[in-house]
Formats: sequence, C-alpha cells, structure tokens
Amino acid sequence: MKKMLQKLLVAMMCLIIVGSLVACNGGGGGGGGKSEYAGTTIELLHFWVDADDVLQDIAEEFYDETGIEVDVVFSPVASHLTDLNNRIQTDDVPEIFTMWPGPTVPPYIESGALANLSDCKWIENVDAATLSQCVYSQGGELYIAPVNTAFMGLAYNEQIFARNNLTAPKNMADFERILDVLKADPEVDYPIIMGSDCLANYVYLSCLSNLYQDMPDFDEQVNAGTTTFGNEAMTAVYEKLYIDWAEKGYYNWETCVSTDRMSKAAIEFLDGNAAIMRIGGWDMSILNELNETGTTYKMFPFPAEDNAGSVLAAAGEAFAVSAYATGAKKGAAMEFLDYLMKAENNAKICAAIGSLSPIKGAEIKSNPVLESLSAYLDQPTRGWTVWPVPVQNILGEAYDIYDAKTIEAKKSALKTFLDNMQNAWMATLEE
Amino acid sequence: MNSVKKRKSFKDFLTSDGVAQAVFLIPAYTIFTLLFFIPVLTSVYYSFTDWNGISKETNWVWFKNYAAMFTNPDIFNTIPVTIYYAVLNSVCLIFIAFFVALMLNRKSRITTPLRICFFLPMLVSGIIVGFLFKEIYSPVISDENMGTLNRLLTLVGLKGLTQNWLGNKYTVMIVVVLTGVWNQVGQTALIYLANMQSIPKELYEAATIDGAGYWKQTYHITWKLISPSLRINLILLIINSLKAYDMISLLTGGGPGTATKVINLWIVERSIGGYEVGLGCAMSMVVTIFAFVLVTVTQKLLANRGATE
Repeated sequence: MKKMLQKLLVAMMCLIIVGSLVACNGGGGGGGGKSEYAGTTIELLHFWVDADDVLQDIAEEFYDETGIEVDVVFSPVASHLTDLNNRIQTDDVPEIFTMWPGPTVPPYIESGALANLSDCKWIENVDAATLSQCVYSQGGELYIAPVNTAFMGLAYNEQIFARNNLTAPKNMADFERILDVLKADPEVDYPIIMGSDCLANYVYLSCLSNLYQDMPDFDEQVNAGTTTFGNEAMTAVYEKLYIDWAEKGYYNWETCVSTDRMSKAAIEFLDGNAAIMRIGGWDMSILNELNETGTTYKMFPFPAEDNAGSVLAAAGEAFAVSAYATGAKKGAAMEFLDYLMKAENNAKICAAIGSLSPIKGAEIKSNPVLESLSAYLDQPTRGWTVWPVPVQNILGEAYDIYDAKTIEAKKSALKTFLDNMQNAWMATLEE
Repeated sequence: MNSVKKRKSFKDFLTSDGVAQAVFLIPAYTIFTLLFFIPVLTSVYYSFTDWNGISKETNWVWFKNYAAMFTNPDIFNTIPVTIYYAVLNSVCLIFIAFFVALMLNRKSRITTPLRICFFLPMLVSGIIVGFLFKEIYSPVISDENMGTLNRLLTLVGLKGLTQNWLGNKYTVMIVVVLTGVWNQVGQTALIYLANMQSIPKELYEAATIDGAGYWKQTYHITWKLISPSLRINLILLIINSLKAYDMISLLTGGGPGTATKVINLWIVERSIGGYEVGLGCAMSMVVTIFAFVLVTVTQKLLANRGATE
C-alpha cells in the first residue's frame, strides 16, 4: 500500500513537472510557445493614436500564437522622432518603430539605425509602386515596411451635391462647370476651401493631375535640371489655380495664405459653407471628430483635362526594425513584423487610421469615403514629390500674385514666383 | 608681543562665512553646470562635428560647419528678418513700456488693477501666447468664422480693414511684434518702474517751481534718470529678440514664405528637420557670439551716454 502511494506520488509529481514544462514552454508564461523566440519581450514604438487599441490587440494575438511579448508604446507624432533619437543615444532603442517614408529615412539608414528588410517574405505582397517609394539605396535594399498608402484628393459634401444635382466630375471642364453651379448656390460661400498649408503645398498639389498629364516626367525633369518650374505646363496650371479660379471666386484666397487652418476649413466644409475641400487621408480624423452635423462626404481625385484625374497616392507610414537589436530580440522583431504585414492585420491598422492598404488581399472594413476614392484607383496612381524646405518656402510666398490688382500684374507676379522657386531649387541642388 | 595665533578648528572652518557661502551656492552652481554650462560646451563640441542627431558616431570636421553656414543662401534670408524683428521689437518695447511705466507710477485708484493687467501677460509662456493670438489674428473665413481682431473691426464698421494678419507678408511682422510687446511689456515696464520710484521727488518739485510742465519733466528728469534701467532693458530685449522662437514658431511657423523666419527657426529646422545638428550648433555659437558682442557694444555706448549726461 505504501509502495503504491509512493508510485502514485511519483506519477503525480511527473505529471505536474511535464504539465509545467508544457505550460511554460520557452518561458512564455502562458503563450502559445510556437516560436523559437518565445519568452522574448520586444517593444513597438508607434505614433498612431487611433490605432493604439488595434496594435495592442494584434500584440496580444501574436503573444498567444508565438509566446513573444510585445510592449506597444504610443509616442505622439510631434515628438516621435525626437523620442526615437533620444532613445538611440541612450541605447534604449525599441525593436520596432514607426517611420515616415520620404526624406526622413535616409539619415537613419546612413546612421546605421535601421535593419535591412530586403529578404522579408511579405515584400512580394506589397504594391510595387508603394514599395518603390520605400527604396532609398542604390542597391535597392529595403529598410522600411510600408504600412499604408497616403492619399490626397477632394472631399465633397454629398448633401450639397445632391441639392444641385451634381456628381463627381469626369474631367477638368466638368469640374469647372460644377464649380460654377456651386458658386450660384446661395447657401454656399465658396465652392472649394483649401485647408491647411494650402499655399505651401496643396494648391500646388491640386494641379498635379493636370500637370502630370501634360508632363508625366515633370518631377524627374525638374530633378535633372532639364526643365524649370516656369515651363509652359506649370505656368498654365498655376494661372488657372492662382489667377483664374481666385478671380472667379471658386475659393477664398484669404484663407489660403496662412498655415494651420485645417480645423477652421473643416468647420466651413462640414457646416456646408464650402462644398468641396482638399484633404489628405490623414485629415479624415479631424473631419470625423468635428462632424457634429452629420454631414456625409465622399472623395474624388484632382481632375485632369481629359479624365477624372488620378488619385495622388504615396507610401504613407512605415515600420522599421532597429539595427541595434540582436539575437533573439532581432528574431522576435522580424517575426512580429511578418505578423504585422499579414493582410488581415494590416487591414485592421489601415481601417483604424483611415487609410488605404498597400498589401494585396487586405480588405479594409467598409468606409464610404475610402470606397468612393478606391473607384479611381484602377487608373494609374502616383505619388508626389515633397520639395525641400527652401522650395516649400517659396511656395508659401504667393501673396503677391493674389494681391496684384490687374491680371497682367498677377501674371508678372506669378512669373517672379516661379522663377524664385526655380532659383531655390537650383540652390538646393548645388548645395 | 606674544601674539599667538589661535589655530582654527575643523568646526570653525565649517562654520566660517566662506564655507557657508560655498555650501549655499552649490545647488545653484550644480543646476547652472548641468543645465547651462555642460549643454553649451556640448554644443561647442558638436559644432565641430558632422553629427546628424541620430548616429552614435561623429566625425570631427573642424570649421566645415562654420564655412557651410556662410555659403548657405538661406542664412542671408534669415539674418535681415532677425534684425528687423529684433530692432522693431526692442524699439517698440523700449518706448511703449516707458509710457506704461509712467502710467503705473502715478498714484490713483486704478493703479493696482492696471499693474495686474500689464504684469499678468508676462507670466504666460510663449507657446500659449502663440496659440491665443493665432485665434485672435485668424482671417475672415466666413461671416461666422473669423478671428477676434477681424470681428472687432467688423463690429465697429471697419470691415474694409479686415486682413489675414498672419498670412499677409506686409502685416505679419507687425502683428508678431505687437504680440511680443503684449507679452513682454510688463517685464520691461517693471524695470523702468523700479528705477522711476527711486528718483527723488524734490527734483520734480524744483522743476515745477521753475515752470517745467509734465512732458518737460518727463523728458528732462524721468527719461534722463532712468539710464540704468534703459541699459538693462535694452540688453534684455536684444537677448530676448535673438532668442525668439516659441511664439513665432506657433504663430506663423516662419511664414508666409520666409517673412518671419528668424534665425532660431532656421537653426531648429536645419538641426532637427534637416538632420544637421553640427551645422545648427555652429549657427547657435555664432548667434551667441553676435549677441555677446552686441550687448557689450550697447553697454559701452550707453555707459558713454550716461557719462556724457
């Protein structure tokens, strides 16, 4: 009897030990334990306030599947890069962090802060155009993983359009006809409101579909110095936007010559005082937050002469893996990046931040605004060049064009404006 | 003569004035060293490197950043803007604060509430001032949606004068300076006021007997005898004008175009946005040296003025 009790006790002890080992497989403390890096803890530093909950959920699911713990830490947009830089200097670099594709990335690559992602499996699922905007090195190596596609277009108030029997324009002539109809609507102060920084960037961007139709390689030609900002195509679109449209009162240029007017413009648009508003995908959260009147809106691209235009779309935001992460931390970070770049997870993130996904097969939850714009995505989309600061500064100096009293004086001011932009660009190239 | 020097004990040493002073100064010196001296020395070091703010390694580039600074066309746009701002801001404040101090120096029932009104804004940080006045100067977007200043003009029948104050390159610097004046006038006036209150009353009494009116007394007695505070104010204003960043950054971001892009905005833009911390530090050093020279020259000139008078 005593021996049987002893055997039973030994058997129970064995069961407890085996059970404990199974439960704590790899030290995961309850995780699925399917990864060789189970038990490792990594950190994701991100700047999406709207996607924080989604990322926390994804991290939890990832932990259940792999046993790798991910601390999801939010860092506000305004201080994100400063936070990141400080942490790099203090050897406390998060294993994964968010970045903005564009001129922000090369200094990080040159500083050796970003891990090379060129061999990642998810690359084949990413839209080629978006991916190409994330490649910075001559050798074509990839250091950032594009999360979403930033887009820009014109939002229109559905109620005002319905009231005037209008639909999205088919081309530039149709668009100008719509603007005339809206101008005659007594309840509308101005057909279009441009929103923040509009002189610095967005009036210029509004003409890009038109410009690119005439000069598809405009950016490349300017970069190579084979054309000037004052070329015929550029002058024509600028005359239309800065002189013709302002004169006709399609928009209130007074609101255009200062920065940070986004929320004020949004209120005008949502209150129905303006029927169309230039927005980027990132502005949708402001519109939704301020929308107390239940205004519904959809989007169409900036129209071109011969067609409805193309959606301006570019790599929006991205993930990067720290080059300072080594061993299990690096392996775990790469595994988590693979997980984040899965179509279903990417779709959750893009839905939360109100953006388009560059991942094939990612189905974003129904969003009427995105759906309305997606209708145009079959047409070739293209990104936009972010000009260096000195050129952007000149973009902000269009006051003289508006302020000139005669059309001739306005054209003369426009010529000076475009020449100044060219000079700033050449000086930047020389530098 | 058997004077025997009494040997000081350790306790005496500890309780001696010199040691006590040193002990009391330690916290101040520690804070000064940590928050000022070390950062300045670090900036001097980085101004000779190519550090981009990210990399853990830096290369010593000697005077390359200093040379690059003077060949950069942007710098030649920001220098006149900075000087314009500094001169306009200093001149406006020197005179406006003087008249405010004159008003606050008079004894009446409303003097105390007035003092509170003028001194309160100096407690508000530049960032908050920037946010506040951005709303005040907001353009006319529609009849319902406009800034306080434009609404005020509309209400008093001056709709024709409404402006996009911060978007118009001809008005932007004036409103930026006026905002700075609102914020700093209390501090400048306070220094004048302290000086004014130390002027002997007999001088005014004698001047009154001699038949001098209020404005003559103000010029010949008050203005002439506040030289020390004028000097302090001018030096502080020069330093503050060259340090201007937060309020302008919030109000205009340097725009429209480069109309209000003062040197510090350019430094931050290049250092943080352009990843050229070395260049930014070099520029900061030049601005510091320039401020030091300007303050020294101003001090000398005002000292000579004081001696002549």
